[in-house]
Amino acid sequence: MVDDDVDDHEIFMAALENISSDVDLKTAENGLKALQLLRQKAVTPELIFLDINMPLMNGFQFLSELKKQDGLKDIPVIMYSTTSAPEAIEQAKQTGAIDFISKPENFSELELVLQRILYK
Amino acid sequence: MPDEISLNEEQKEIDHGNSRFQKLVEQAPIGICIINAITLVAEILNERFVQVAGKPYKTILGSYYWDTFAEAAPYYETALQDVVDKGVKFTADEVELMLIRDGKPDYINVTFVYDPIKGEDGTTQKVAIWVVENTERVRAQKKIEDNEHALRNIILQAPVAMCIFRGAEFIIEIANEKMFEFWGRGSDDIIGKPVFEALPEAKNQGYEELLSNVFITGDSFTANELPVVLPRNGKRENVFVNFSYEPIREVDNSISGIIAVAIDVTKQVTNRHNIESEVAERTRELAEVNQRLQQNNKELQQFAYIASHDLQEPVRKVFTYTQMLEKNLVAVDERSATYIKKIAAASHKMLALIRDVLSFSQLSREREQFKQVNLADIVENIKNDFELLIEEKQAVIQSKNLPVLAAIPLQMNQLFGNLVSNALKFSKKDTAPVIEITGKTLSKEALSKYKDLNQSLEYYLIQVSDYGIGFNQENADIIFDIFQRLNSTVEYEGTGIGLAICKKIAINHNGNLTARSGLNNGATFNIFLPKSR
Repeated sequence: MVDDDVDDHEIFMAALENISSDVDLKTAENGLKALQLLRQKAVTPELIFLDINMPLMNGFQFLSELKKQDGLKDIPVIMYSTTSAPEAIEQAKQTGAIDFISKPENFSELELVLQRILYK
Repeated sequence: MPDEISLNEEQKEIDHGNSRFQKLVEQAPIGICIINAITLVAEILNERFVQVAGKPYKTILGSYYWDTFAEAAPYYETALQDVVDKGVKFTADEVELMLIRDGKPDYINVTFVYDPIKGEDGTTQKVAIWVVENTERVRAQKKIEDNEHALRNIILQAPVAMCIFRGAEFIIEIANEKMFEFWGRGSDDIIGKPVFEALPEAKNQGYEELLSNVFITGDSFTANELPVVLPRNGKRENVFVNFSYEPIREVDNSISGIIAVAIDVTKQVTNRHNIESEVAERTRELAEVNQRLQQNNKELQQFAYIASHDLQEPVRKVFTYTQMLEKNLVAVDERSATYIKKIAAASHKMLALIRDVLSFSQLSREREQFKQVNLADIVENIKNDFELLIEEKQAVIQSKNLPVLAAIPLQMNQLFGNLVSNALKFSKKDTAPVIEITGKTLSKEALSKYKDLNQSLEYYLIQVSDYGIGFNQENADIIFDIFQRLNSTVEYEGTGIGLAICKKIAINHNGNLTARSGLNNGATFNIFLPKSR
């Protein structure tokens, strides 16, 4: 999970734990950090949750970089944000995200969304 | 009888002479009457004389002259007697005379001569009266003089500066006080002088050419608000004048002078210049204020966006953590559970508010794209969005004649979504809501009643009607104000922003949104949208 908001790390973690006991969530607070970890193979994720607004390197910049890297470009990425602005959704798809979710404020809704994604 | 014969011859000679004389008199181009110097009886006269006298030939001939012309006797009897007595010619030149002509008094002008005809002894035998009537000429002359007098009076009394320039030298013949004021000169200095000699400061400003042109061509000249430099109170001042040069034409159409009229409009012109610069200044100020306003507006929108966006995050977390807490607590007493529910409800309400403010602040962003939008599709989408609620309330949504038009798709979704949501929300309890959405073209005549709409565009009118609780018609305007609510939050939840968003969307599209209702009588929302941009 690439997100500068540690609270969201916690919320996502809690939601994921409720869905499955077999989830290992690693976090990075911006795109730059995440790229470093990925290149050093410090993490080898099956799925990346990517926030849009972050300092140093935002979600779109990170995704563009990722797509240039052999060995990394095929990791599925799901972008999310509080916004549901159509242009953000469109840009996410064009940059290569497989899905876009707007962060539901409702916790059980978040669980449902994550469940749908994980068991697709 | 040679003597007799010779006498006869002599008589014949005389008779011949007399008749030749008579003929001469008769054919003379002037009136002639010959009277006996002793008796003053008219002996010979011609037709011309009869015409001037205005009395019958027979009355004059053989009558005592002063019997015939009794009306003139008081004036000329003495003069005639003097001619007889002294043998000296008397001339009356263009005198005015009252004569009874054709039985009526008539004032005429005549020139006449009493001419003594002397005998061999040197005494006056006869008096020849030569007369020419010049009434017409004198009257014409008088008329001209009267006209000129009237013109002079007009000029002197005119409320604007006037003068006459006479002849090719433009001699100032007459000028009124206003003109003297205008020139800044007294009358003594300039009357009778050529204008450019009297007013040397007027030289070389183009007036010579103007005046000459009028004098030569006879075309009048007018100028408005001409800047002129004139001496005023010893100083040279810049003034503005309206003036005209009119040629003065004589009977023979020749031009003998020019009438000049000048109006000092300096005050008006400077006033207007002041007003113009005042207006320009105010317009500039307005533009500045407007720019500041636009800037402020932009900043405010930006602020609303950022504020609501950044506010959203912590509130979202409060809400989410509340739910997580609720889930995590194993045994929770009833009171605590209620508190947790209240925190969740309040933070959820706050989130809804922030989202609405956010979308309201984003409405006027200019990058939104207009596309061809089928409103029927929009309504179908909304039916899908509200599927659960529609089912729950057993609502019926009917639509017909919905047009395709140029609009921002997302905003059309918001507009109709909010209206349908409202109609569902404010339905009567225990009654299945029926919502009708119908479109039609707004006629030119109907359009003219809506002053807020652009009269040069063609509009669709789309009406969204329900049979719900409605509202009091006197609130028909304030329902569109942001945060305005007519109903309690307990009964009908909402943020009070929905209709403000709808109105703003309609206006964004060059249209408008109005409402009609009566309490418990359903509501109809009229959406006016232009057919094209």
